[in-house]
Amino acid sequence: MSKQNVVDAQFEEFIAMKCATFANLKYVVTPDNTRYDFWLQTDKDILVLAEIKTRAKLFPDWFIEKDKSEWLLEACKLFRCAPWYVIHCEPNKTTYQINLNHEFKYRTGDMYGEPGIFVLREYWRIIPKLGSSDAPMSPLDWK
Amino acid sequence: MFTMNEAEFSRSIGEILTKRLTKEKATEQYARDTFDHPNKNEADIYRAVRLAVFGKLAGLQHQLYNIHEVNRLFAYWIIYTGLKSKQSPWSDLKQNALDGMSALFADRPEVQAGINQAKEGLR
Repeated sequence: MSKQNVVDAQFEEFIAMKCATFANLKYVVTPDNTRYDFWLQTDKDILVLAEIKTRAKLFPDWFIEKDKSEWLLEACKLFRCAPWYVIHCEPNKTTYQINLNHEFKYRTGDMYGEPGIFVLREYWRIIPKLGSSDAPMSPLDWK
Repeated sequence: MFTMNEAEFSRSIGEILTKRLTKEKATEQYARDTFDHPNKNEADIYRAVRLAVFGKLAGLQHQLYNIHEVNRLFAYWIIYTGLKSKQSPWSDLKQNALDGMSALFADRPEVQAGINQAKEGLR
């Protein structure tokens, strides 16, 4: 069972790839201990800096850690790119994304002593699942 | 149209690095002209900053050579003053930013010694 908030490297890569496919961009996952988890880029420029969190339960709103969001906002203001906060909800295998520069309603609060904000799910964009759920063609389908 | 020759360009890097030069403070015409250069473009300056700091891992640093060197010069200035401030987010991106300073002018070997000296002062 995975721990809340902890994203292993392979999974982080999967989420980054999902976001990149959705945005029609390329992704680069950052090394451990970097202040953000991945970025999205074209062949010529870097467009998005992003943070990934996992949640073990589905909630009507998602928590955004103040420290993480402030850093992303500050860095993206400086570098002029988009700050994405991405939450992957394990029970429904759904990835939610929000651009921290966009306007949304929130309530302040804290989670295990970490201050932050809670943003209703309606403000989050659902990142489409990768690939098709249809079974690929096999030799048995040939006639 | 004003164009800088190599010597002026190298001197202006030195000026900007060591004297926190602004257009208003610039005492020499070449430095003032750097600030008013016709190829100065804010979008390109910030693209150069992004490519310098993040481009190595992204495999994009070669794209810097497509950016006019005046804009790379301003990008250099932004990174330098950011690192000098020792504030977030620069403090968290220090190594990338230091690498980026050299990457900005990797096609100008003659200025690398000066850049390395500036980097030493920032470590």
